[in-house]
Amino acid sequence: MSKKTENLIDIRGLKKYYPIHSGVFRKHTADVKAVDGIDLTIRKGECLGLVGESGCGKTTMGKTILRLHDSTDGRVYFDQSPEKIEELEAKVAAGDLDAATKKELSQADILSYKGLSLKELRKSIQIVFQDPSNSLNPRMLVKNIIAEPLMIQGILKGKELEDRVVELLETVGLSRQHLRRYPHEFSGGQRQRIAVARALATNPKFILMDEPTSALDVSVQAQILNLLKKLQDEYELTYLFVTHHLLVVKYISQRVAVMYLGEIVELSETEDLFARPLHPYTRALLSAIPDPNPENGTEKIILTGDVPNPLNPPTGCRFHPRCPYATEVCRTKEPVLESAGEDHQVACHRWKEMA
Amino acid sequence: MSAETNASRTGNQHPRLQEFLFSAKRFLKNPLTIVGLTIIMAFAIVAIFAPVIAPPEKPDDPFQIPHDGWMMEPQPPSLEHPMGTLPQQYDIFYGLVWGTRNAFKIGLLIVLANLVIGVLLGAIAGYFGGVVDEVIMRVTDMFYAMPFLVVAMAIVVVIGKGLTSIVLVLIVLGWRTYTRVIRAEILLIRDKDYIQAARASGASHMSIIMRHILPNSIFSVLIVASMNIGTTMLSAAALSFLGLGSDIGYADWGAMVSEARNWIVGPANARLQYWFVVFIPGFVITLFVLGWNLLGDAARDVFDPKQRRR
Repeated sequence: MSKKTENLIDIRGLKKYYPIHSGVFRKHTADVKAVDGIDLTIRKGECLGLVGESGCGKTTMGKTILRLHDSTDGRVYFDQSPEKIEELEAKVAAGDLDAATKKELSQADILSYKGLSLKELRKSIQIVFQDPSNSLNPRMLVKNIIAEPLMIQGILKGKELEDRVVELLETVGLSRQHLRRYPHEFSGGQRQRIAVARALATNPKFILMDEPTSALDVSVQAQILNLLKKLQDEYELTYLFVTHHLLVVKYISQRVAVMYLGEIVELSETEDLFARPLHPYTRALLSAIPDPNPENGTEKIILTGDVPNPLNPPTGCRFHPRCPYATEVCRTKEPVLESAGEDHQVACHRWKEMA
Repeated sequence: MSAETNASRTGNQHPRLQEFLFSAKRFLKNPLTIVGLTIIMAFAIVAIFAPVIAPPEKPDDPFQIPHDGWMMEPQPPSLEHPMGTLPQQYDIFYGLVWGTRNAFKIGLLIVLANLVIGVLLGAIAGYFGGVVDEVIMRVTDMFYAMPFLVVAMAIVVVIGKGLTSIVLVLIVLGWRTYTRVIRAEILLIRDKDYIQAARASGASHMSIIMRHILPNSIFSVLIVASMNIGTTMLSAAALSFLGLGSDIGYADWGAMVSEARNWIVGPANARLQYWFVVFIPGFVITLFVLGWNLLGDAARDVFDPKQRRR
């Protein structure tokens, strides 16, 4: 991959806190920090894998970008020139925004979109959910399910609409005869195809893949992955592929971001990450991939303890209570993402010593 | 793939029609359903053809039962009065026939009004949650706390007695059940992924409620409603019997029983002498309620998604 590809999505300081209210007066007492200050860029036409264990905030982050959850703080730029983003970011960092900047920001930052501009944005960003038996309305015909985004956006009507739906069905490997069926008449893999067809309906630029294969049979997973890969090439789509399945990520993404407790701890090109994992957490994750050859005797890194409570994350490096290499500095100072080679970033104080 | 799994698929019918036929078939399988359906159909026919079955003397006021003199003692069935007469010689047969129209009006109107109010409030509470939910449900709780008879008497005091007050009482106190039922149902599906998918496509709250939420949650409410038509009739009759209903001589089943109140038990030597004044209208009310209950059961069997085929 060339290094200077354009960014489609630029996430700056994204935060999502869930407030906790307690007592008779529902006083705001604490926050669950599901996503805590994420900076991430997603390049045009790439598939960025986002991995991490359950509850680390992967899905929350994705859904916040899609405006399914409201963000607490941060900005997300969609399809903006880098110069403009830098200019706005500089102003935000300086604080004290004047009215003109605020207006400009509200046009560039999709987290502040409202009403019509938000509806317009919905055409360009779409989502495929984890469990297709949950993401398709059981009382709607496949025809109407796929046509829904087109109808809401008022893009097509009548005969043209039906033709487009058939075209979409064929794109995902189904056919006209499936138009007038209910979701429960399909197998899991077929249902996920329908969900993909719906996501493609409005010709989006970006699709959030929220663990699209983890509810499926292993044999079907491969089919869906291949379909997604094919579609990405054909329609020049950009994916954010959220999953906890590392081999899936290895197969489909060009870059991988590793998330731990609401923060990105490592970001790298896929090959580089699997060959040269730098963060201790990434190493532990990778060592958990089963090796088919028992004689290799690969050493497993077993992490002790559980993911800490995001209500009260550890000070310093969030991974330090479980990290076998933690020292004093890890307990007190929070590491930031720093460059560790070409297109490889890691947030760890001691990566150089361990490399 | 599973293209041929549905062997039962008949021809090229639209799936919605298929679904309907499937439901209808199940609906008619149960013999009790047929009984219920027959009863209600019979009542419907009586209601529709009331002017033919019992031609009114004063066509501009057909619900006024004609009476034959002022004698207080009810008369047993005779050729002239096939079901006997009430005190003051009101014809029972005529009252029952025209009362059927009122019975349908009461049952359907009240339940429909309850459904509309209850579903609207419940849907808003369940879908939006938070403060809105809190306010609506606490108001509902307040209505749950109101004693039936006290509200009934209060309304009668304010707007006077008559069928209108009874309908009003039952509407004021009837919607609360539906609100709770549909809210609970909506809470179950509100966070399903297909709701989020619709939102991700830019659907408005209104269209999400109409296209996704209600079609998936309304059936439990419809079942409750179909079972409630009969109960509502009973409550209306009870209120009429207590004297909150129409004036004497109005064709309303409950009111007719009420008018016969003093004649329920006959003189010491013939306790059952006036059996017809209570038994005949009472039996008709029972039959009507039974019919709706049987239909309600059938509706539950057909619509309850948990009992349906997969």
